[in-house]
Amino acid sequence: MNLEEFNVHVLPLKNKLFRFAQKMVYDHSLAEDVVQESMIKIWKAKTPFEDIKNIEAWAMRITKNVALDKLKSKHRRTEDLENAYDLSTREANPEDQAQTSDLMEKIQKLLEQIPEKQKMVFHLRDIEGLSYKEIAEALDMPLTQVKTNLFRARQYLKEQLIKTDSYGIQKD
Amino acid sequence: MEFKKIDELIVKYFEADTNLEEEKLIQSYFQQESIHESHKAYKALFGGIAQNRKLSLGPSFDERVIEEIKENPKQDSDSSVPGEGRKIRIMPMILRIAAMVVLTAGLFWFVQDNIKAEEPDCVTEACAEEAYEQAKDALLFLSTKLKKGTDKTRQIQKTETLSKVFKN
Repeated sequence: MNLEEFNVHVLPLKNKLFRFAQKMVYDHSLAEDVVQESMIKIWKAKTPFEDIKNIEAWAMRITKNVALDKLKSKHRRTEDLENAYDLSTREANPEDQAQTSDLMEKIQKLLEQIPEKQKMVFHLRDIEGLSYKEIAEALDMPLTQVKTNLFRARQYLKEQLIKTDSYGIQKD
Repeated sequence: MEFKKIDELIVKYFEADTNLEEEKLIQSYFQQESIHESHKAYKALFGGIAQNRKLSLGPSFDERVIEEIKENPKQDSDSSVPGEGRKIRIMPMILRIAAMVVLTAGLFWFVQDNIKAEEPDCVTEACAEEAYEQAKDALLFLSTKLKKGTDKTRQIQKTETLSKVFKN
């Protein structure tokens, strides 16, 4: 891979990789480190660029591996939601900011309750819009498992959303 | 959008049966001001998804990465890069097995050759005993080496299994 290929095909994936890393490490600065390290690994990779079938799925897989390594080595899993929301609300007005934070917080809290695999599959499908095949490649998981994990994650979210009213108060 | 159609799509969505196009339709429906009363419980989910998509890194990130890339020439393969780590692990194992086979065959040939070469001169009982001891030593040496090789192969297989478990 040369610098031009890197600039055209890899660098534009930075935000997708960042959001994915963020879902895994729950820390803004650590997620940024994960993406930076992943980008360097992609750059240094000896795999010829033309041999990579799906650059996005491949980059996601590298990011997942780097994030797991970081979590293992540092034993960090902070739930610093504040850091995550700072970024998303940078350009919004105060009213929108409050609504945005509320929605994100609600979903974030629900997602924290589901198993890691379901969370990753849900993120890659519903936030990043990857196909089942791309998710399977990114997470090194059979297609059937991708669908099962997504089904379980969505079912869980549906049940929780029905239970909760629009102000986040538990009905029962 | 027609209520019946969107309602069916939402049901399909929670069954994980929608395709990406249908999911885009659902997303845009939930971005509207007016949504049907029966769908309001899901508004937070699709609103949260839309907001999550806006999370991004600052423009200085690109500069930092490009700078680091220019300072870092391409080096050795990395195990966290799919398709690269495995080649490194598998090759030495193949080489080890090949070396073990060559060593075993060589020692066997050497022992056989020595026994045969000594046979015509070996007429006394002491000489036969000496030949027997030599053969015993050689076979003992061979079995020690084989055991060592097998243990190492087992260790490598165990390490690979563990790393697969942690990766998943």
